[in-house]
Amino acid sequence: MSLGHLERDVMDCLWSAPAPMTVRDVHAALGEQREVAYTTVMTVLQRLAKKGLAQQTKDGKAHLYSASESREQMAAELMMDALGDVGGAQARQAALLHFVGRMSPKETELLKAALSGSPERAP
Amino acid sequence: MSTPAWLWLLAITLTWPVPVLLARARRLLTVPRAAVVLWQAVAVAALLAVFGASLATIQALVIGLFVRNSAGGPGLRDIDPTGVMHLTIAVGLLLLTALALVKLNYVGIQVARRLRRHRRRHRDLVDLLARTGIGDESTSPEDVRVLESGERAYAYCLPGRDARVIISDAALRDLTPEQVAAVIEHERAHLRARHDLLLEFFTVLYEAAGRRAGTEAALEQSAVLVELLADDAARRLYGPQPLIAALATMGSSTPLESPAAPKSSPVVGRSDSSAPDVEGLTEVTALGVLPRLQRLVDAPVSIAPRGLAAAVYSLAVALIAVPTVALALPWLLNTYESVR
Repeated sequence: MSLGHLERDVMDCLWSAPAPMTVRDVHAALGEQREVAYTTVMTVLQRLAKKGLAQQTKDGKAHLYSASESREQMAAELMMDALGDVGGAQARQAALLHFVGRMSPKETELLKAALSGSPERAP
Repeated sequence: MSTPAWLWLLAITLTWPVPVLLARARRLLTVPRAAVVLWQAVAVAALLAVFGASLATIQALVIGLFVRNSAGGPGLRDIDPTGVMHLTIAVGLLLLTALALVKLNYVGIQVARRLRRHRRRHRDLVDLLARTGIGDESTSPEDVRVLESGERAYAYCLPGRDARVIISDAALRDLTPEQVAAVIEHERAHLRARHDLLLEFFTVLYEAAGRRAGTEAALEQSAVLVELLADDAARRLYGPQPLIAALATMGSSTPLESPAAPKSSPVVGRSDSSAPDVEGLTEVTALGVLPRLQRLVDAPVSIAPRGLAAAVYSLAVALIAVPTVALALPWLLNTYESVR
């Protein structure tokens, strides 16, 4: 079982839980499906907190973990980011390299004209 | 002309007219690999010329002061107003040069941090939310992630350590398996050749130099050139047709924002052309779609215009070598002699 898969499962646990969970809670919830070591769950939770995906709070002696944002919020952020620099700004922000930017209708028209067998029209 | 004057002339030429003219040279797009090298050579030569010119000017001013002083006898009282002015200019220039160096480094670090932070966050989210693998193949590639994102067909790569290629499920739906493979190969070519580092270099110059026309041309052209190179890598394996089809499908899919206000670059915007058709063409060129299409349709990978590539490579070498040998070396030797 890779750490990446485990992270997803742990996040699913946190998302579906009504309240912040302790490592023991998460371990128990995961244990229903498969065998994972308690320390592994702890490591994964710490990693998630370090990445900012989960939030760690202290309640007395126990560390409580919760998802820092809902799944929908994270999905929205990811999609906005993935689509965000498609287009003219592509060259400005080299964080992601897109296969092709978004073209305006006029550009699309030109592309179609070029595709329909008249590449000579291109400059 | 004196060494500082030559270096200033070189610095000005390389930072403004040369990049702007190179950006207009369409023939360069037929030799993308050599053109990328040339753009880097122009950038390095411009940096060397700017800093070399500053240092040479400072040195000339200070040496002049020193000679005048020892000829007129010691003591500050003997310095004439011209000497004071020269010293002031030299100190001012030294401060400016130091400031420019600091700014370049600062912007470099800023850009690097910004990009890496952005990519790390994006990768964390992708690993959490995107699914691995294409379709139900058990042999699906390890580095490819599929993002569920409604109707938009797109693909991109996330460079750096632990690189990823991301493709939307709409793209998987709209493209044939061969087209998908070609697109993934295109993105992997970006990752293999670390095109992100090249773009990062030009982004730093662009932001450090105050977003001027020269650095903007360099950034935009290098962005187009790396697309041409990635296309070349992909069509070596799959031929041009899958890429052309993928460009058409993904480039023209439903726009997210209002298409009434297409983002066009300032460089394009400035060249206000009266003919609407020509204007349209420059817009496409700015995005790099038309040069890509043209290369995919017209130019087989195997037949590169060898003469042109060789000439461009030679030009790149000359840009670095000639000023060094003709200006910097004699100047250094002279300085050494006069100090001794």
